[in-house]
Amino acid sequence: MNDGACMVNVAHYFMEFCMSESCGKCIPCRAGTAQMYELLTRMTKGTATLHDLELLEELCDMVANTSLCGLGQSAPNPVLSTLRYFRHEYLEHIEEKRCCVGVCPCSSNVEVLA
Amino acid sequence: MNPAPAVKTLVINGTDISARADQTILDAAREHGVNIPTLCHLDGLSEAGACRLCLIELKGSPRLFPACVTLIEEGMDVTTESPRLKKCRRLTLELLFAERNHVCSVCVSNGMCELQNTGSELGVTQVRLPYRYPRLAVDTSHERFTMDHNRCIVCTRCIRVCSEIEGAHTWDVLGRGVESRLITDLEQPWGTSDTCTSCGKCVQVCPTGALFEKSKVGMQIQKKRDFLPYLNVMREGQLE
Repeated sequence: MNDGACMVNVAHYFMEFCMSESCGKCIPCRAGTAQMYELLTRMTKGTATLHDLELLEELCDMVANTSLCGLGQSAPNPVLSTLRYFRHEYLEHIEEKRCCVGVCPCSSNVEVLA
Repeated sequence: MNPAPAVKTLVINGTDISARADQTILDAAREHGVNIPTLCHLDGLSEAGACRLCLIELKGSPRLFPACVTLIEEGMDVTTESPRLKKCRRLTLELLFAERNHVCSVCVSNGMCELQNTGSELGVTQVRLPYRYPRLAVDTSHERFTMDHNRCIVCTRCIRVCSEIEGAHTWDVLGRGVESRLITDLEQPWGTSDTCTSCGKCVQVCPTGALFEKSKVGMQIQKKRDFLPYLNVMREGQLE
């Protein structure tokens, strides 16, 4: 990973992994990772709102604290740490519908002049 | 003569109580009139610890503990209601409501549903999360009962009652994560199951409208669950 990585895309990637590895026994991990994945997908597509970011943060806290095993308890970590150090990248995806690196689907919305 | 059962004393919501040493926090709390919401726990069945609604706070630890699978200890200080717990429980229910189709107005179990009741008790008036609404099958192949996967919350009560009480183990979970769903035998229509004895215990323990008796709707669905602890007591009596 280097400066060419989009932090929202990285969080999205790890959430997809946790969602597919969740066993499905406890509700926070089974349904929570799927919801967080959906919210992150919206961000990468440029369709998320600031309300979605709020929900995402609330879900991160709840899933980490209430999940039955270590998978669910650590699933929100990539989101939490990227939010801590790269919140501006999340806001860029939501408010400007733009990915500074150009790897997210939302970057194709940007009209290229000339 | 049996030795007197060991008793431990603890504090629940600021009130001193004493309970048998082998009791869980949930049992001790309910015995003393303190209600803790649950969806997977049912008296008479083994514990799953899966719904995470019975999480409680213990003084001296930042973690939350599931009351249904945590044994009491001497001097414990338990809190069953707090803003933090309420927030977690409401979000857990919101996750459930958004996971599959739980539109109460068109559910056979409307008014008799544990998910619905728990939601109204905890004041879940809206779901802020995006609804997933997967289009899942409805198995009507059984002569007397129907399985609607869209209403299932995978609490595994039906699996446990079928395996532990009836001894048939017809039910099981297929898949994992958000894709997991209930199956009969080796993923075949319920009506063609060789192991199912059609006893209907799974229907009696289902907390939602996922398992129901055909031609019964709403208030006609009175779930009979008293037989579970009774059966266990009788069986233990025979073993001694």
